[in-house]
Amino acid sequence: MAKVLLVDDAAFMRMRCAKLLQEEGHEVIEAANGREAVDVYLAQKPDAVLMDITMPEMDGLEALREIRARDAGAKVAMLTAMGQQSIVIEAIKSGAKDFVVKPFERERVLAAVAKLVG
Amino acid sequence: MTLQFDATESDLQLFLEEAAEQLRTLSDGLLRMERDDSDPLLIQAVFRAAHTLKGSSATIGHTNMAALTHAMESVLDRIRQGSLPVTTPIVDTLLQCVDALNVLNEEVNTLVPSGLAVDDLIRGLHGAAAAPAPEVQEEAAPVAVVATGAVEVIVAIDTSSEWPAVRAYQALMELAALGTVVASWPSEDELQKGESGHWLRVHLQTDRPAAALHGAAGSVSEVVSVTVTHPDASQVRQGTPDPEQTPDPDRRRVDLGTAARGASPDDQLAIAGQKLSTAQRMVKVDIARLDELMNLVGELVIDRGRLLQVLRELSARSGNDGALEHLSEITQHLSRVSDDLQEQVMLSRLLPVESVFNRFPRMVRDLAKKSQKSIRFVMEGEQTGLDRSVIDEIGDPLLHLLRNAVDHGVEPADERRGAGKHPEATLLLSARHEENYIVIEVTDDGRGINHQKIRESAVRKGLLSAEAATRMTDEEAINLIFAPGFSTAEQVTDVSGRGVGMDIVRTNIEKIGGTVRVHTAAGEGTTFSIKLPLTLAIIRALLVRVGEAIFTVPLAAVQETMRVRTDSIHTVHRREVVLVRGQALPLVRLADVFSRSGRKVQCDTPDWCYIVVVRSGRTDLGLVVDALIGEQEVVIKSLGGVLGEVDGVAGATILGDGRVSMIVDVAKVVEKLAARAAA
Repeated sequence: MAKVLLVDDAAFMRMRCAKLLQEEGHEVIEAANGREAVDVYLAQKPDAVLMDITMPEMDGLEALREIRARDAGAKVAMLTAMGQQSIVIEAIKSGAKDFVVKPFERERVLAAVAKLVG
Repeated sequence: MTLQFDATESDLQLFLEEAAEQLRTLSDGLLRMERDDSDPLLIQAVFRAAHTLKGSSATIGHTNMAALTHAMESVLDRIRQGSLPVTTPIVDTLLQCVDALNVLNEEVNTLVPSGLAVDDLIRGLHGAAAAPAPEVQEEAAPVAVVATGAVEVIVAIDTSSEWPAVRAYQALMELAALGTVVASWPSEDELQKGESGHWLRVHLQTDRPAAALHGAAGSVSEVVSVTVTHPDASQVRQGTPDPEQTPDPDRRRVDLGTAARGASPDDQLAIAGQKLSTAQRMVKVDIARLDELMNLVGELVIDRGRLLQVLRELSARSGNDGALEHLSEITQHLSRVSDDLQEQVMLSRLLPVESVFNRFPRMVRDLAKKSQKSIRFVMEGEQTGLDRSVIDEIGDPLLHLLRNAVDHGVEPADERRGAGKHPEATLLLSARHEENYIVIEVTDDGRGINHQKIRESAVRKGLLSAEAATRMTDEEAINLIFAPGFSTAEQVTDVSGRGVGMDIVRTNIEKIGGTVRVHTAAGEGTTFSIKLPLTLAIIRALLVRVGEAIFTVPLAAVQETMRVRTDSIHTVHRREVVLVRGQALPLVRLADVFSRSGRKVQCDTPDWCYIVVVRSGRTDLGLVVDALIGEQEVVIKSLGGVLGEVDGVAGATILGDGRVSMIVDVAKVVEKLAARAAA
């Protein structure tokens, strides 16, 4: 089972997503914006990152680039909403491995994490 | 006599599925082109539909269909090139051709010849295009000459993928890392713009083994198959691409055939599997059986909740215990299985209302043309899911309402101009979710319903006395249109034409547990609002505690939850609000809503409170509660005769410990707050 960093500014989304990851036996650490995500990532070195895109302080794309710049092996999947297709293409160019569209299905999230750490 | 086509039964099934899609694209696209001929992507899509249909009908040997689509393609090509303007006669002719194609397509389904001749239509197309149509040349397709040492990789993406283009882009990047991309369809540029079907075809110069390519492209989520082919050497030498080799992701069937030819036996198996899954074998199921299934799942969900509760109690009593742990595992597995089961049953009953809405644009266009009115028809929320049983029943009432709107609601252009309105009327058909209801509305901006004329007409028909008619409020008078025996709407608007008894419309809607209401304003228009219950009996919900009681808030309405200091709640104009991200969020104490007055909210810590932010329509509202308990699937039970209608309560549910919890009707609570604010 993996240590997953969950980044989203909406506490409710974090609650739902953390719950389903924990049910699957994953350890979940959380961050509420991109800036926090970079700090937590460097301090705790999670196995995988699930990253929201639209966030205050530092957005998901910038955080992704920052994390990948400091750890080229970082495994990040984007949590995205409809209409952000072009941003996701940017994220993939910047090294994101996968994406999950909100509102997400449980299986999609779990499969994305399994793929990141597998 | 039966028809013979050059394809297996499952191939024909696939042909029919795709043809249905292309016919829809043609029909919808032509209607949109008639309104706006400046969108090259739209014209391209319509052209492509005709082109693809031509290709596949020729492949199965349906000569009539191929000839007709070929002629349509010629006309569409000239429109695409800008050498032929989109005029109503041309659209009319093309639409007639689409009607004929539907008939011809049905031949494939039934194998019974329709006797339809296409010669006249083809002549009509040439005539409509005025100038003789130039001989259509095969599209100058990118020449697929494959360089020596290159392989062709075909990647199929799950049809349920939200963004196949991004997945295809990911796969392309993975492949590009293992060699040099000679060409790809769609191209990298097209993919970045989000243009893609569910297929990617790549010519890749690489020295890596096929297994490596399989692995790389297959590592992308939602990729369902990867086929690596070494192109036929003879073709490379000749340098002339086989027409069937023309890379065109729409020509799925042909693509597969070509791919299979050079593929290894394993790959061929994978391709066959792909074909089968796309062809999707259908089974007809009695709705009564689906109902029964839904009931059984409901019972299962309740039992699961109770099982979890017992488990919690047991573990609290006896601590860690091997057998208990085992039981916990089994229960978790059971939870997952019942989750999936429930979802599948629900999904099997849901259809997007699109399947009913689809036929209306064409109908409205034709009706408007016949009555010489200019009408802009707009549809919204076509993707809203509706229970299968409801879908079957809603088509006719909607058809009648739309027809009435065109015939009687909307004024002729002259009259509209005289009234200072835009000469083109707008007719809106919309569907949306509202709590446990689906609301479908038909709105026109026509002349509105004249309540005085309705009174007079009702009296004349002997439905009620003149005295009673005068005593009625205007609203009551307007509702007379739903009375049995009120017959047609002719008398209301003095416009001749067919009118459909509105009582039949109402009866049909009430039969499926819905309601219909009418709002009208003289000179401004009329809205018929149909409210249908979701017969889906299970929802996801957030359980909250208020005092001793546990309330259930449908998760669909929940935006977020938060914990705030009680001293951050302010009173503005005698209403409680809290600031959230700089915005004042109005608060409602759940305790007050259900008149459990006389007690203060008791949060777990006196200085803190929980707020559940809910939304109805465009209004956000914070529900103040004592504590959040958690998220759970609940089975809605009607309060029925036990309590009657309770304001703000949408129903009840049975919790794991057997207690009853009220389900909060968020829309009602928001409505009440708005009413209080207005007072």
